Amino acid sequence: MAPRRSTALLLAGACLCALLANAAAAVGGPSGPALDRPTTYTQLARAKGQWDITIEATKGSKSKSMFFPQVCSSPALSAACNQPLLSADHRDKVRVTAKLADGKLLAVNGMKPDGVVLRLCFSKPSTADRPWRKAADAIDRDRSCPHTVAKLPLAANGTYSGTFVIPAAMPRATWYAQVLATCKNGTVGPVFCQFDNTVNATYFGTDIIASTPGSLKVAVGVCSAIAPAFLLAFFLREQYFKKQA
Amino acid sequence: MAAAPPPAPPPPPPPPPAGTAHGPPPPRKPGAAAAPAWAAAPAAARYALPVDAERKATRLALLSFAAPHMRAFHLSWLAFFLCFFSTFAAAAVLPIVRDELDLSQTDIGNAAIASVCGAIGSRVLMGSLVDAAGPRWAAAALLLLTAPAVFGMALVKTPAGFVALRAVIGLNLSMFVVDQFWVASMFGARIVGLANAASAGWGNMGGGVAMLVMTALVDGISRHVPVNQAWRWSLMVPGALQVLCGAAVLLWADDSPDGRRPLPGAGPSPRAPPPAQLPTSLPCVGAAAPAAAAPAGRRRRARRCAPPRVPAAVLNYRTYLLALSYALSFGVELTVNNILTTYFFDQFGVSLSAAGLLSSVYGLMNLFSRAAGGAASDAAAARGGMRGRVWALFCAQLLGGVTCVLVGVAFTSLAGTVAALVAFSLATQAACGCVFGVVPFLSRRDPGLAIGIVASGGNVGSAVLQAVYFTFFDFAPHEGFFWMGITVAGLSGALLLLHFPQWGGMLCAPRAGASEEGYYLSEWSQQERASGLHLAALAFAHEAKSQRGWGGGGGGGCCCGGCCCCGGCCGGGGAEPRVASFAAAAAGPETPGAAAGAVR
Repeated sequence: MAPRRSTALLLAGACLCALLANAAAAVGGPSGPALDRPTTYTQLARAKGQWDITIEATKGSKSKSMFFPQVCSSPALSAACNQPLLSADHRDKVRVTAKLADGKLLAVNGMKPDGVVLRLCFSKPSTADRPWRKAADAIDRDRSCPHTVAKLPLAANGTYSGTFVIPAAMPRATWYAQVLATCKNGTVGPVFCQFDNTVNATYFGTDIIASTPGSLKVAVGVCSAIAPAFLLAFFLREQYFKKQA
Repeated sequence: MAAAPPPAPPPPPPPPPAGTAHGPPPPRKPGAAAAPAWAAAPAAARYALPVDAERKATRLALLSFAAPHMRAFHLSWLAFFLCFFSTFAAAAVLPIVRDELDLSQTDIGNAAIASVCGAIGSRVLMGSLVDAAGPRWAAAALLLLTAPAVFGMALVKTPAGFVALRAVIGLNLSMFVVDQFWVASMFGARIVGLANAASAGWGNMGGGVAMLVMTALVDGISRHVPVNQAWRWSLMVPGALQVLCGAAVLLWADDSPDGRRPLPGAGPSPRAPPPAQLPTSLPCVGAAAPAAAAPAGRRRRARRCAPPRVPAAVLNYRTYLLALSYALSFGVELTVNNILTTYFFDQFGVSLSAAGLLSSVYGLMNLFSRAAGGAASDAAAARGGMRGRVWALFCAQLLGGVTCVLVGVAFTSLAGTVAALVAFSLATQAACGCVFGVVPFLSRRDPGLAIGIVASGGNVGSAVLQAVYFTFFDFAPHEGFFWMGITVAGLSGALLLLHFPQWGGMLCAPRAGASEEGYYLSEWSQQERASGLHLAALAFAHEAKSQRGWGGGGGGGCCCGGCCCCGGCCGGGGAEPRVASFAAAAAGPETPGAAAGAVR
């Protein structure tokens, strides 16, 4: 029996190793980037500094068309210049405007830009201890810029603008604006070929809105009372009938 | 030497006295009010399933809902299922909740730890509650008293509130003890393993179903209300289901085949206690008159005249080895349930509902994987006895560790991750089933406490694994899976230390002269054995000879059914039990009618 058992064990071990090898081979990340396709902010850094980016905010639905410039250079949520925080309660909006300083956009590696993307990104303090917002040098893996304000084609006047309405699910955080230029790269799809942002220059803050309507509070109160009340009522009922018996 | 005759089996228990759910109706006294409808019993006892001498079912009819056996089975696993569902409902919608409540990773980790820590102590205490009040009231109380916390999660606004409510809701996980006790009360020895494993596995599915259902609920509700309200409304559903299930348990379930057990202090019970509840401790010397002379409606409690004994399960090192094994299997399962939806959402950028669908695969495998583990344990025992069971557990646990490593390795491939996850769930959940293939043989004096300690090990393991690999140290989630798998695989070696003197261990043969009787009866003192308190365990010890396997029997080479005997007849197999090291048993509360049920 022992030799048969040990043979079975050896076979099982071999199968497991094969499974592991196959799994490791099957596990593959995305194919490596083409050498001439920039994929990181570091690679784009040498073309930074061409943009003049401003952020304006509307606070309160009364001022529908009056945007006030955001001049806060502190990323702290509690900073005085960030108050009051924007939220969805009053349909607050943010307008991001990016102007080319020289009117002409120069991309890295001599690539030809064909569009511009405006994004909102979490400030560094707002990503602390929150890995789901973690910034990454690889642009595709950067999770710190979840909101796209606008995707625009190349404009002759070098001015690009977009308006972002604060949604109901906006978290409590401070944000900066980012501009990314897109370029075609032969047969490979659009890639990012230039970027700029308002880090250490301009921030704005957002806050969570109340999400517990009165109806929900009533429902929770009623349902929470029913459960122990039923337990107590049944307990008393059984006590009563037992004593009767 | 002539083989001694096998011991006479204990006499069958007395028929159910008048007034039980399955006995004749009691004679009504002249002028007495009619008994309430629920106390009336049919003239002849009839069960829908075939039963043994203890009136426990010998067959599992999954499509039946007949009282008392199958109704209790289905309500038991359903209650456990809903408890799991409620515990992990908040984790399923965490990608939305974390921004809504401004949670940090530390807050999320603390909440996950809190959700499993609450049940560490409550699992141990739940055994006592089940003994005192019966599984029906224990299940109903747990469901109905934690439901407000489940509803309250819909109104939480701060990280501290989120952590606190997850801790309270996590008490639900102690429903496992109720479930195992209840099923064991209803099903006989031949089928109880499968019934317990199926019940526990289907209950554990609640975690997987929560991932699937809650994300779909949020998706659906968010079409009518903003998404930051939708997750709150969705959390009303598990609470409502708990209330409904608690009501169903109270209205329709029985504690045992003999019917419903009265609550303590509710007066003398008209029903006989289950035969298994023979007295387990000596009455205090000089105690007052027997229970019959007690004031009507009051049950006399024996006075305590000796220091409380240390439970045998607490002094048995094997309890803690199995608790470690359960920590490395069920603890891993709890940890993964807490993080899986968020892992898919963050790592692969899939939508919330897709993340829920993918992560539900892990929990849904419980439909058959845990039962498969139990079946594998039984199959291994058929070939190799207890040594086979331990080897089955070791292999399942080791495989669980290896497949966990694969999940961590496959972090850049969604398909690879899902494939590894399927294998991981199979192995880990099968290991859970294998653990409880061994636990019933740990102790006969304190089986409930043994279950409670081992079960608590799962929660402790989850708290530690969550803290180390997914909260307080700087591991990326895929690195957490990788190193958690390494830990599980490495610590599986602790099973090499698990050794039963009468059956042996993984690498060691049984000790010469050791016997099942010697092992189990050592939990009673000589004085207690002289009083016959050990007799129920004696019958079990006789049956447990079926766990002999490789290396021959511990009882001097005898096989079960051959020359086995009870206490002192066979050469080697009947060696005198070791003198117990416990102090005199505390005189605990006597079960009414227990003296009548005692067998000499």
